Amino acid sequence: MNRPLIPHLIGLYPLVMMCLFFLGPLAFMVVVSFYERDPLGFYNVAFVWDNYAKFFSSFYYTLSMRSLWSASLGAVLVVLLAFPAMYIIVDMSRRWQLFWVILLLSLMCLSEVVIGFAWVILMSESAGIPRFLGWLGLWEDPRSLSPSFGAMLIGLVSLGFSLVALMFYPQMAGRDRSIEEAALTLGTPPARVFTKVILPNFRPAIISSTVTMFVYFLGVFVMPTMLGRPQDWNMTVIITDKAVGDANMPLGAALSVIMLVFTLLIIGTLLAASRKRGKA
Amino acid sequence: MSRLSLDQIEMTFGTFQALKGVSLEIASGEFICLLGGSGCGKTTLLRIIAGLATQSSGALMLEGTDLSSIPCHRRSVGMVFQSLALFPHLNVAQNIAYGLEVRGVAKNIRLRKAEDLLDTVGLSGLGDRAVSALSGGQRQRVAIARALAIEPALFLMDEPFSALDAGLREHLQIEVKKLQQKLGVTTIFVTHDQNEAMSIADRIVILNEGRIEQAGTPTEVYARPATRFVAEFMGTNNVFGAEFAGGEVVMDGVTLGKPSEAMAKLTGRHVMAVRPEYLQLSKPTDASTGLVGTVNFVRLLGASIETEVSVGDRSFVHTMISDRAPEFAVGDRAAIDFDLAHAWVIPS
Repeated sequence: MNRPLIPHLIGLYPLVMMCLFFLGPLAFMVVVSFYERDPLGFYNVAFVWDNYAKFFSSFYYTLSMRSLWSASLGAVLVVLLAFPAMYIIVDMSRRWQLFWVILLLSLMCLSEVVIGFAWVILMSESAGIPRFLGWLGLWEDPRSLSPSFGAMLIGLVSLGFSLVALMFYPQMAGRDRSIEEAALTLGTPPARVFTKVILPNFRPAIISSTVTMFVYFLGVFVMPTMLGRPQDWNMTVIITDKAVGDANMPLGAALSVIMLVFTLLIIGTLLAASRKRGKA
Repeated sequence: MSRLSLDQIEMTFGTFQALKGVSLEIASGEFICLLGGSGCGKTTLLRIIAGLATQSSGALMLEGTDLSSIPCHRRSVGMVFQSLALFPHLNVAQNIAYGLEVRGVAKNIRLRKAEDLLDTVGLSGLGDRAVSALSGGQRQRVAIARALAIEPALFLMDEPFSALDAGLREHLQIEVKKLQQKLGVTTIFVTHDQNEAMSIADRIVILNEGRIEQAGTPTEVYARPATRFVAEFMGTNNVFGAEFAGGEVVMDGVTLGKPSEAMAKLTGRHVMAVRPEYLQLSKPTDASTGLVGTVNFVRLLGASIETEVSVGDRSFVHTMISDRAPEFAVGDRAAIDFDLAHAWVIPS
């Protein structure tokens, strides 16, 4: 029996795209991670575990923990700030909702570098917030607030805020408000409706946006380098440093593979835990 | 003393006045239907009673206590919403037990109560199910059980069956009525469906443009409509103006028949309403002196046959039991006789 070919070709399209833009480069990176570094060139074809072995040192362990910590903290902070903000926005009139959505979309158009520079200036001793606080008399000895871990976190939050807020928008705007009213009629005090009904209802969206931001912040490069101190740098900065600065492509590739595996493990664990709790 | 008393309730949204001086007394254990078309103010009134909206003016008393100063969460009202508003993150039993949990009732007691209510609404054994796994009718029952779990002072329902198919709707109407009679809870049910209101209410309150047009038993509002709006809104009715003089009722120069004793005392022009079942159609003869018109529509409604007859600019609707084939077809001429003993003069 002749089965039509076109549906099969259409079905192949996502696979081709995945191979072309993800699996292909990933496979190449995995292969390179087993090569030897050539100090005079790029790499020599080989099969060695040395690049992976280097990961098991206190330096890379500390670096990994730091990357995970800054990405987790940034993700939690940005969701904590964006969720209530969008909850307030969706209760505004259509005109104001449109204003805020356009503003958030505009913020997404700004590049990471522009946002980073803006914060560098704002946190500088000579022109930014410290000087202003000093002028007000609230800070006797104003000093630059960046680079610091706090400055880097602020940069991460600025970077992810509009994205997370817009991720919440469709679900929040379309939510059935009578669920909140039902909670009131059943005796829930207004202050507890948020924690008893709204937050649990949005738990899947909160988890997925936190995971998305976590993955996103693991891979940021500009904010840690512009606003963070060297001890605040994440694995992405070090991978770039090794691969580009030291021309050690095999080590950079091995660290990238390890980061990828770690990320997948963390996401898998989070999603499994969330599913298990949902069923309970 | 009545259980719930509404006195001159007014509600304004900007320049739009949704409720205009609504006053109503509702007795304990009564089943009231707020009936009206879209935008008549019935849901607004229900929300004011629930405490989800605050009236612009007027008083709301429950057994002598002013409800206006009591916030929604302290009013002890069980409400079933049009969208049902079940909590998607809780299973069936947790949904039903939610109000008890908020009140600090121990877990074993509230879950036992949820089981009892599931049994009452015919959903035994479904407590562990996710609400998303239930059918439309089952979800309705869960919403009803959840509202009743808190043993509310008032049980409010906002068009809860509007999204259901006709058969299921009818089935649930009967169930709700039986449940209400069994529990004796004062119930206010909002609907735009006249048949639904007629079939379940002890008393129907018909609202139009923010005002109460009439409040009465289903028989009263059906047989003795207080206004033309009620006469036309409550099922099909033949509403027309006629002259009363010398003990006769005359319309467009045609004498309609001999009126009742009370009707014969009237003089001047009045609006009359005659239900389709009290019209008689016959084949016109040369001797016919009454109203004669042309049949322009005939339809079978299961138990009855409806025939529409045009006389000049007016249309009259006639119904008869469908125990025989329709006697008239579209285009036929038909003579119309009125049973004036069953006609109703709408108070002016």
